[in-house]
Amino acid sequence: MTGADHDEHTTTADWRTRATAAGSLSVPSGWIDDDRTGAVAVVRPETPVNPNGAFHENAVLSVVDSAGDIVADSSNAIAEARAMVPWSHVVSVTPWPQGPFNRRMQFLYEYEGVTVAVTKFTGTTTGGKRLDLTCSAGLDAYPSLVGTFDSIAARSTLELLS
Amino acid sequence: MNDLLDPFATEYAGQPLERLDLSPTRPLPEPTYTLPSGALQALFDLRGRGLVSAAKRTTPAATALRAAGLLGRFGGASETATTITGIVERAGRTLAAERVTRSGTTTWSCWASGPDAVVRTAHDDTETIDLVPFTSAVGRLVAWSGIEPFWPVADPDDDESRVIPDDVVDAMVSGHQVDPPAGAGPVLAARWQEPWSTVSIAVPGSDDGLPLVFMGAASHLRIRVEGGSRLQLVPSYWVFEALPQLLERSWSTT
Repeated sequence: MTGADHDEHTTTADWRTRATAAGSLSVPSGWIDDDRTGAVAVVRPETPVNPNGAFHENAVLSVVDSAGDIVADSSNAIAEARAMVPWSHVVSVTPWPQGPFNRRMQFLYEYEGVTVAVTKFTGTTTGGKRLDLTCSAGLDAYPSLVGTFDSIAARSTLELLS
Repeated sequence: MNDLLDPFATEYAGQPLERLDLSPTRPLPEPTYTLPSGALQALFDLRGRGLVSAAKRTTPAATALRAAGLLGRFGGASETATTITGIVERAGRTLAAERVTRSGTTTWSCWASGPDAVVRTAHDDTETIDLVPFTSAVGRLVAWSGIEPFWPVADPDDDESRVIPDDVVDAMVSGHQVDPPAGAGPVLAARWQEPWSTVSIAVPGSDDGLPLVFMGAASHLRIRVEGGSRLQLVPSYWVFEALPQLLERSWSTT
């Protein structure tokens, strides 16, 4: 199996910990908390990567109901991404054997003329729940953030308390 | 057996892996203009020239351009047509791709000026033209190229050093079955039976590019060597992340 062997582009000193109800979310020090509700935590860069971009990149940590196991949860995540309107495209699905996550999926979607690229980490099941980490950026900014998104997932020490 | 499982990938990867084809993929958005081949060139030839010869005004491309509202009755360009030709003329960045499948060759061309882009595809006697944001053009190119999920399992101990002659690649792409190479393991043998296609993405004027061979959804980097090509299995995330790197490399040197 060709694994997910991504480089981390940021050194330890550049990171901070955001405490959440599901443990510690590691984020770059320049990322701030977003006050959106409906998720365990929402973080985003204080300064957008592309100041002229139409989409402000962010990472959303959620606790959601599990369909039973990672195979079912990943199948559902793929179907949900493919159902997005008006257009979406799932690019990759890869095992992610680090931390509380088990799959890394990349997909694209268009919304009001903006093309957004997403790395979504789907977690393993504990007590009927699972963690999801959804990291989104405009496609123009995504190449410079994809390594950061992976590092957030790899560095965070999250757990679901059943 | 769990209906969600991909039994072949699960067996060879040594962990439970889901089928990736259970939910339907969304087709690409319909092109804005579907026209006879040569339509974009005809738009340049005819716009603003007023009373050109009847022969030029009645070509299939000219007739279709008028029907699409891009040209007026006497050849004047519409506002959208002026935008399209302006982007092509001013384009600071260009990108091209070619996809070859059993049903033939399709070319994809993109001209970008600032955030706007014109995309043209050409296949047989049909040409499509879209006016879209450049990021949409690149995102849709990913889907158009067939970059999509697959499980990149490989045969144990397969070093992928075998050279596949170009005539074998051409035959497989055109649908003429050639036996897998001697010594191919069960995973390559299974992949070999899938429909083949080639995709090449390049920046015009640059000798850098992303040449790919697909067996089904499985992407391979095509490395040209003496006597043919080595086909290196690469995950779709690798291809997806290699594309902007190609653009950055090419546009920083052109």
